[in-house]
Amino acid sequence: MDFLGALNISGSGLTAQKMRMDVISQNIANAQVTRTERGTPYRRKMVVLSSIDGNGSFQDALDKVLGRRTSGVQVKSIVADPSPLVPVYDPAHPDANGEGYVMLPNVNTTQEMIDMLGASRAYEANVTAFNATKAMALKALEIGR
Amino acid sequence: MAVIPIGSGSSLNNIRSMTEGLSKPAQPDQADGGQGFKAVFEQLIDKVEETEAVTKIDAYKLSIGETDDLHTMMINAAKADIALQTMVQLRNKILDAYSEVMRINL
Repeated sequence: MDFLGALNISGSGLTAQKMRMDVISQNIANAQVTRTERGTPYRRKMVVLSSIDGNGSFQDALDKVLGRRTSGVQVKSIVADPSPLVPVYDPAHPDANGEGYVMLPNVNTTQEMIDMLGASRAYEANVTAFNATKAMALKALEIGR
Repeated sequence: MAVIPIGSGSSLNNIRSMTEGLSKPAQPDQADGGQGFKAVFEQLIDKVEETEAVTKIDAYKLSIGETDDLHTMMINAAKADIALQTMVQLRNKILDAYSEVMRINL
C-alpha cells in the first residue's frame, strides 16, 4: 500500500459516513409519511457498510492501476428495516384502514438522533485520521533538513 | 548502516514512488547523474501539475454546484499540497547536492 493510499482510505470512510448521514436525514424527514410513491407507508432505511480488503492478489494490483479502491469502506446496500410499522388509531386520517388504524413509519426519532451523533463523530474521527496521515507525510519531508 | 549517496538510484526511487501516489510504474534507473536529476525534476513537475489541475477542476465544480461531496475536494487539495511540498524539498536537496559537486576544486 503506497503512502498516499492511507488518504484514500480516510476518504472512503468520509464518503460512507456522509451517506449514512444522508439516510438518517431521509428517515427523520419522512418520519410521518403514510403514502410513498408505491402507496405504502415509509419504511425506515438502514445502510449496510462493508470493508474492502486488499489481499495482494493480481486483481488488487489491476484495480490499483485502474484507479479503483483496494481498501477502505464501501456502502454495500441501503435496505429497508423489516421491523413492524406502528399502528395509530385515527379514523379521521385519509389513509386509515377499515378499523380506523393508520400505519405510521417505524422511525424512532430518538434512535435516529443517536445514530446521527454516531455518524458525525465517525466523520470527525476520519478527518482526524486524515490530518494525522498528512502531518506524518509532511514531517517525513523534514528528514535531513 | 552504510551511508547511501544521493547519486544512487534507490533512495530517489523510493521518494519518487511515494510522490506517485497512484503507483505508475517506476522509471528505470538513470545511470549518469545529470540525466537522472533532469528526469526526476520533470517527473515531479508533471505530478505536481496533475494534482494542481485536479484541484482547479474541483474548485470549478464546487463553484457551479456539481460536487456533492466536499471532502473529496479537500482530500485532493491536501494531496496537491503534499506533492508540492515534496517537490520543494527534493529540489532543495538536489540543489544542495549540485552545489556540493560544483564546489569541488580541480
